[in-house]
Amino acid sequence: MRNLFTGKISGKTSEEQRIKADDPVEELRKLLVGPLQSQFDEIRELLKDQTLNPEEVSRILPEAIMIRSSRDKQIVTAMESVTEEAIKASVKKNPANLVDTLVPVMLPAIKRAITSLIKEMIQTFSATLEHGLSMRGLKWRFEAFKTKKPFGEVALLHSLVYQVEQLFLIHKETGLVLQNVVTEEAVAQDPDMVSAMLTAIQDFVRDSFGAGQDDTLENLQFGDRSVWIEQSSQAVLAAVVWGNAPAEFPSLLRETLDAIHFEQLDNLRSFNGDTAPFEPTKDRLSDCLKSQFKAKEKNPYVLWGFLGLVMLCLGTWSFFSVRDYMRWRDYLDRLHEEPGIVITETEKQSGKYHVFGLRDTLAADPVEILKEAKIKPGSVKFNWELYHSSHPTFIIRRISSVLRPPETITFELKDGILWAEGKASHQWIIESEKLSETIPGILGFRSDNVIDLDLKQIEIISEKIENTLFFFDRVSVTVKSDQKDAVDELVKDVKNISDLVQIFDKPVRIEIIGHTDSVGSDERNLEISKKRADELFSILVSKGFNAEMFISKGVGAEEPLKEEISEADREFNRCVSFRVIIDSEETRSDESENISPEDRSGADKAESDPSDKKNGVSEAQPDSSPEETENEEETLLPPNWG
Amino acid sequence: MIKKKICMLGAFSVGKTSLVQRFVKSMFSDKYLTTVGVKIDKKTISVNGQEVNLLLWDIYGEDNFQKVQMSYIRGASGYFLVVDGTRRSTLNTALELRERVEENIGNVPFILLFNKSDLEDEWEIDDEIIDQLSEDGLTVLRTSAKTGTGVEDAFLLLANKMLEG
Repeated sequence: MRNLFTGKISGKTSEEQRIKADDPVEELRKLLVGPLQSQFDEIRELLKDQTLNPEEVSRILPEAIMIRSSRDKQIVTAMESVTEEAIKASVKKNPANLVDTLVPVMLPAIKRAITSLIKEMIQTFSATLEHGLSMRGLKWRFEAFKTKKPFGEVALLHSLVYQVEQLFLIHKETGLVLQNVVTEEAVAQDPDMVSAMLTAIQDFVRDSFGAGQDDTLENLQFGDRSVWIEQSSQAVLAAVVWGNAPAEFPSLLRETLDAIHFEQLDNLRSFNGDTAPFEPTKDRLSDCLKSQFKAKEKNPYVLWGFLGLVMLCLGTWSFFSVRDYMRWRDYLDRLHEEPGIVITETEKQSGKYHVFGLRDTLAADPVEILKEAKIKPGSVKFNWELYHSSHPTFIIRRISSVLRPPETITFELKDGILWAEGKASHQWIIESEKLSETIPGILGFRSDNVIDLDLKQIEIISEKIENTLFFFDRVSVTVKSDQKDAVDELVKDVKNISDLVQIFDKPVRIEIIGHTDSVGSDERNLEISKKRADELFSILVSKGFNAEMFISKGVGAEEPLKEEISEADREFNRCVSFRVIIDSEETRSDESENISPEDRSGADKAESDPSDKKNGVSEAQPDSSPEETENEEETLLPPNWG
Repeated sequence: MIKKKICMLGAFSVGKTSLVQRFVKSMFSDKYLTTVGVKIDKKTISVNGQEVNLLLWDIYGEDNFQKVQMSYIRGASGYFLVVDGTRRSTLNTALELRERVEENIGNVPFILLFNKSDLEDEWEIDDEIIDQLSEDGLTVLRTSAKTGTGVEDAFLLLANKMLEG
């Protein structure tokens, strides 16, 4: 201190010399208090003169700054503007100086930022590759196109599902946890232990690979979790992340760490194990507890499958319900329409149908109709009361059961009249007319439209007989031998017609008409024709027919069957024809009365000789034998006759 | 809450892990131990009414084939140099380790533990040597992880030294 004021003390020495020369008192005083005075003067000068020696100041300045810095921040405040101005001046003067200074600091930071950016790009590129060609990728491509976003961004957005479970702010030097935040869902280990472990791992990795102190382990992956690590010179920020954190998450960590680093730099530097000063960092760390939960994507296939199954079951149930209902409704409609069935009530109890009503015994079987309607017979219970239906069908059925018509007969009920139509025997028609009067439910019976088969048969046979002709040689009265079959056929037809007419209780008479050609005299021709008719009369009577059944007559050439132009015509006219007469008794009587004595000759003769009757058929004889006729013919007829 | 990192250093098989086990009674991960070479335990103790979290880094024992990674020591507030009293060479290892630790992290509190005091009959290290080390200014304690003798005291003492330091 004394040396500090050396210059001033030298000034005082010349003053003392002056006093010493002028004043003995002063000399005495100097002797007595000189040393003290001298010191006093030095102190006084020191207090008076504030001018400092730069050399001395430079010696004490660092110590002074350190002492003051430990007390408060005044030094920093005082130097702030000066420092800023100094930096500005330096940059202005020579920017290279500052660049050279900052490069070692900035380069690693820039390097880290670029690395981080490249990583993000790689992640985006990976996501693009991963999802680019999948179905989901195509969907995302469409979304990217729609939202005008890069596909990689859309892909990442969809695939990133993560939760930041824990964050550790670790003191880099000691590896001790300064602050720790954890989500409620996470199962957290002791943060101190985890922090120490992370630090040890970092050390281990760094030592194992011979990495430098600035090289850091940035990411640890274990199962679904990963640990993201960001470091500054004083602190480490580690985040335990479940799932895939977004590419920008490291940036968030970086920013958070930088902010903490800036805010807590002094505390970090002076950390001695007390974590209390780092309590304010909790909010910043909590802001990093990000999570992105992908909306739980419901498997559309399972959902649709389930819905489809439900719809299928519902559809099936509905289908069967509707089908059963429609079947049941159709069945009831059918029953309603069914004659002889009257439904009075239907109900469903305990899954079973109950039908109440009236039923004719002739009505259709409801159970059979059930089967036709494809309804289980066991699902329906019938409660029928019997009754007689007045439905025409049932009346006809009842009539049919009484009249027993042939298959060729059908009935129709019109205005209470039963109309029969078709073909039936004469006997059935007669009996039906009688029986119908006793059948209830009808007012009358008409068979107008019924063809009488027996009558029809008589007509057919009659026509056949009337179409039968027996031819004779000229003047001959004998049936040609080659017409024997025709004779047999005639006998058969006569027999049939005689039997049939008995049903009608009407007599039948067959007129046998003899013919000649026009050659010869009329008398002779009449005689020959009569003989020819008698010839057939005799044959028929000989076959057992009653002679009264026949009328034999000759017409000569008066009723030629053909106009005689040629010999063939004449040959044709030399014949016997027939005419069947079925009439009432009166008619028969009338006809009998009209018969000439000659025509009746055969008949009369037969009646006169009842002993000749055979099988109830009167046998009549012509008035002359065939031999005689032939002889007569041979003798009576001119050579060119017949 | 005050947190302090303590390292357990010493030659192979001197009883570092046993000491920690005796002190902590809880282990973090055996697998980790074999893989990385360090096992970390934690113990909260009270020193002069102040709660202190001790993070115990039990570092693998050094031998001819494996040297202790000094990066594990970084940031330690104190450490134990563990010596097996029955093996003279472990003292040398401990003293060598001390020098290397000081080279790396400076002068931090440590205690020299002569372990296996329960086998004192078999000791190869004389009391004179131990006394000499004490006289040289080293804090020396005799412990037995087996019986627990001196273990609690050792940790408490180191905690005190760290808080004072």
